Amino acid sequence: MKSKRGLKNNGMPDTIQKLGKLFRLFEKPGEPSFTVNELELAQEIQANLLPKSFPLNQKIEVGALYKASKYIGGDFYDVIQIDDRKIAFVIGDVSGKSLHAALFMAQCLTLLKVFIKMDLNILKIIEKTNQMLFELVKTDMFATVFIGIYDTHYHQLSYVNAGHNPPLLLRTSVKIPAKDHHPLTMLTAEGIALNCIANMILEEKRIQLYEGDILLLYTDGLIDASNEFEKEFGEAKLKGLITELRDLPAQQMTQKILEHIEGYSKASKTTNDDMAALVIKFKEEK
Amino acid sequence: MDIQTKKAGDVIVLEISGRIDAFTSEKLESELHSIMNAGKLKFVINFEKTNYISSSGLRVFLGAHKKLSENKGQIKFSNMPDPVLKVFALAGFDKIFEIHSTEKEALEEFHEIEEGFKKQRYA
Repeated sequence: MKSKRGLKNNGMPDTIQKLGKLFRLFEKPGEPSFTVNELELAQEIQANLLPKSFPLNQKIEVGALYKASKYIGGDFYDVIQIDDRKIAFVIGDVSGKSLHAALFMAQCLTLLKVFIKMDLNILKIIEKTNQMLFELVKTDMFATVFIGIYDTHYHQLSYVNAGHNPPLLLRTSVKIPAKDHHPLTMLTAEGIALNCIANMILEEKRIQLYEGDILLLYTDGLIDASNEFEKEFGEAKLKGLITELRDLPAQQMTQKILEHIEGYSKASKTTNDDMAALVIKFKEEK
Repeated sequence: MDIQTKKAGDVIVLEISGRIDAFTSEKLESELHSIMNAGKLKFVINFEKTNYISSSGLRVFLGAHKKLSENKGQIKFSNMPDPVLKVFALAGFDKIFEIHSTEKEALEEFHEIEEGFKKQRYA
């Protein structure tokens, strides 16, 4: 238990003061033990870091979902405008729970945002973030991250995947060259999660996008949610679901995805992990 | 989750059955820590009876790997069922850890390293 000194009402922000009334919340053996305030603080850190609105809405339409688990993990996402032409999509998942995970997530997302805003090469963004984390964070925590940078002029998406679930790209237009006409593509690329090793192993890939394309970035909480028979929702069902929901506006798509997965897992005996997702619909140029 | 521990020379073998998730990984972490604190440096984790691992489980092994590497120790894995291997590979952990198809193969690998050292020492 931390010292009570310095935790009294000493003019510190409300968030910090909340640490003052620590008490144990979960005492069941085998379950993570957190205090109420750790959970509140972690939730607050997370909520404050997630974007409230999305840029460049004349070119893309974005829908987002975030559902915290009972124990708070460290899922995060962001959509960051780099300049008039380029926009970055980020999704990630920090291992670990509660306050430590929330703080590590804050470090990851802040570093990624800084390097993205500097308009660095996509590989450098991950490499530099990893380097900084590896020097700063001497823990066993790690983060899986996917970053895509979309050039709205050439309609190209460059991406790297540092050990994250491959996003799904759904094509809806039939007016595209035959070579690119795969109805559903998984954006896989060689990579390793952040803060695991000093020198990253990474691959950058590029894909041509077309109007009507839909990109789903998500965390493993969506596919790991299990039903009463401990059967996970799984990738195949998620693919089917976005195909079925493709005509809805992006925000409604995310809402329906969440409703569907919550319905699937409502009788589950295991606690669901965090769930986060971004749906990005690429619009027609006007 | 259940953990069976056995010794094979100076290697500690952990057989893990059931689910390694956010709730059971604490037990695994404390078991590994107490063995490492007793000075053991070589581990084989046998996943034959493991049916699920989450990122919390990966975190425990990453922590053990970092600690053991500082002390010239090592952790090797064996008998990974496909769903477990998939989780390891997705996060890129198959590039950090040695994954063997059988426990025997993992133990032999430790043995070969030991023999190699001996040969070097007496050469």
